[in-house]
Amino acid sequence: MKKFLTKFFYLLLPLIVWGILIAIIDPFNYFGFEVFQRSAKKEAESLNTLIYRTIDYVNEPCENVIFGDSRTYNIPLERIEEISKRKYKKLNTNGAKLNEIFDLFYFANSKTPIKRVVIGINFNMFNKFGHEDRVEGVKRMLNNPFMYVYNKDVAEAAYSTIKYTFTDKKPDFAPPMSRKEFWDWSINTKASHWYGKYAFPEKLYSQLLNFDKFAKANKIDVIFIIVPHHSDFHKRLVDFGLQKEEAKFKQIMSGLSAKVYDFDYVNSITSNTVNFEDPIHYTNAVGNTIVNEIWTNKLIIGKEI
Amino acid sequence: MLFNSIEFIVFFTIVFVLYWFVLNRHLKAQNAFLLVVSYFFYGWWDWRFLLLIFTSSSIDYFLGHQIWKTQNPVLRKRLVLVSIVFNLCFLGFFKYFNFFVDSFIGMLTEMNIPINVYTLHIILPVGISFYTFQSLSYTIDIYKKKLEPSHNILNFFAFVSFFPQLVAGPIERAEHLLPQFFQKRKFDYAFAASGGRLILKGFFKKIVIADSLAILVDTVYNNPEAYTGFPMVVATIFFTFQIYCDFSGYSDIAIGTARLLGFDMRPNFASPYFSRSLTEFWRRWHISLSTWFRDYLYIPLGGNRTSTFNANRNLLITFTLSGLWHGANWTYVIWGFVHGLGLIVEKTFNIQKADSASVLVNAMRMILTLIFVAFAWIFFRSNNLSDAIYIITHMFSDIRDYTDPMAMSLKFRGVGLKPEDLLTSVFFLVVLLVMEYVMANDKLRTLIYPNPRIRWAAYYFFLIAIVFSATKNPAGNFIYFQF
Repeated sequence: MKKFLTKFFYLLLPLIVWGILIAIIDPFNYFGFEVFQRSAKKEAESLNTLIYRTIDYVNEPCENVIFGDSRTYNIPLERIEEISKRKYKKLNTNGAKLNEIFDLFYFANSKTPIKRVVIGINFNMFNKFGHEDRVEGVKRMLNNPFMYVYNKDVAEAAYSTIKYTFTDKKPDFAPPMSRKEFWDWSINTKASHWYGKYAFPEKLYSQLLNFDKFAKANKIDVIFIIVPHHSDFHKRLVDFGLQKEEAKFKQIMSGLSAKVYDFDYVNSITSNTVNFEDPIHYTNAVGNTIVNEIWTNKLIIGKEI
Repeated sequence: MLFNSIEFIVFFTIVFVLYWFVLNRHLKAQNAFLLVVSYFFYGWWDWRFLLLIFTSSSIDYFLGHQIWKTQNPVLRKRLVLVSIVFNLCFLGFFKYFNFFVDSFIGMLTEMNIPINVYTLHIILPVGISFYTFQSLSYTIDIYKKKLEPSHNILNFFAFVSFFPQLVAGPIERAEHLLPQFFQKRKFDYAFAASGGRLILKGFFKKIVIADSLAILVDTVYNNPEAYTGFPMVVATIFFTFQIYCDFSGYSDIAIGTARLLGFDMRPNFASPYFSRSLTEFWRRWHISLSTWFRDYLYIPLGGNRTSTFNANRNLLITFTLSGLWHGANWTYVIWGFVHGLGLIVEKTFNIQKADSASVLVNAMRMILTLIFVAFAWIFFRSNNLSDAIYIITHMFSDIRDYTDPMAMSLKFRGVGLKPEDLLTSVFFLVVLLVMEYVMANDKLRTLIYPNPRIRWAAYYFFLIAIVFSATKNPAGNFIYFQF
């Protein structure tokens, strides 16, 4: 028996050591140890924004929250706070799907009652095939430290945290191709992935209506921003024969009790490549314009629908 | 309580410590403890199930003694029939009542005869098919005078409810497992270590492979009309390996857990996908069930020692009923029937005996067997017959797209599996198949296995893959729990 237990211990030993190491490095600030500086954990945030920002939100909840995918990254938080005189927090993540945004909203609301919500949305999110279910995994992680310690993304983030702490290297978030190449790739490949396969999302539609009802019942101010795409990308809807579906999406959005602002139509923002880092990600300047128009109630480009 | 849950790890750790460190000198206490923890394990799902297993065990214990004591052959036959009818009624009511009522209503509706029948909301007790068959084999073996009844009710109850194999087998025969409850147990390092290895292998199969393959399989098979072509082919191939890793993984964990408690259980799988014929496949797949059907149904029906027509009929009946055993759905019945037909074709053309020394011929036969088995799995996995037919008719409907990477990637949109996850799953599957091949090959095994460095590297590899996969996917139920 002693031999058996000893060998069993040897078997578990690397896992124990690994667990201690991750707890010390703590790339997503799960345990709240500050052994490694937050600046070295920057790549952890980019590796898995969902884990990083959810943990960040749990550590410091806020009653005003911005949800969305990477297209809401350039909405300037400081500018909103400056105009509204209220503290806001971002719980937006890379590649977030609309169902995940609702999951995150209900989760955030369970931590502290939410009063104001801003959601960045676009037609591509309103697709039956645009569905993922990552929030449940993060919630399980928050309830179980083992899920955090033995997670692949956490391992990768721990490695990068060590790398940026002990070397002079800085994280590089640029795409691995030139702007022109990335632009063309987005127009061709990305658009095909988003629009190539479409079906009306019945389930998502009912989730949207339920969310709207919930927000109204709980007196939560909701703002939906239909984020702009460059017109070259927007035109791809024609290639895939989805103009009617997009119109239907906007019609559904306009029927909600929430405020909905549309920036994604042919206008001075969407027709100029200078306003975009790539065909679907507008620049900081455009983010400022969006915030100024909505929060000062002076719509010039944006349309309330 | 799932094997792949934190609850089970805590439960088994406590059981192991008390069993070997506190009760190790008292066989009776160990057996009583096993009975209590097995009932606790089973009651974890629903305490009402305990009444079922208790009743089933009590009746078979009593009937076993009556059959043994009675000299009158007619009475003996009647008693064993009581046991069979009683057990099958239990199974029939809980598992098949609504199926038969629904099928009856469906048939009358097709004939334009309106009928209004209420179906009952019956909860299917976990593992009922397994322990019913195990208990049934006990009385039948006593009737056949192959086995003496147990004179220790505690040991018999512990045998029927033995938790490692209670909910999904292997279906152990009393002649093999029951005597072990009477033998004093001593902790044996080599035996326990082999159990530990099996548990590791079982978790690897279940958590690392089956649960990750399940994502794509479930997405496609639960909504087949959203897909055409290649995703269906991939989902079917994935299910072929998912069900193997899921079920054989469970069996490995069950056998390994039993070994850690000092019990030996028979293997339930022997690398079935390396079979060169369907006949060979059924000798390697779910061995405890296929031998059960062979011994208690196929041979009593006359087996193959009868006319060709009757032998084929026996085969078809056995496999169709074996399909029905799996679940109350026509998809399982058709699955069993298809296998029965396949075996008849093999026997008719004598394919199963045509052994070849050529590696190429054997490889071809292996692939053909695997294709047939995978095809039959479509019925097994589909939620209903119309889904199965839809999948079969749409699998290759747009074969031209197979050469277009963009069309292919669009087809996989919405299946919830990233390309890197897909590749990782395939990689681990290849690792498993290589390992099974090595373990099945004497030369390779003796070359690699005695080297402790290679062995420990493999243990660490498996353990790390298990732990990191377990935190990624939510713990999935074992497929065979529903049977």
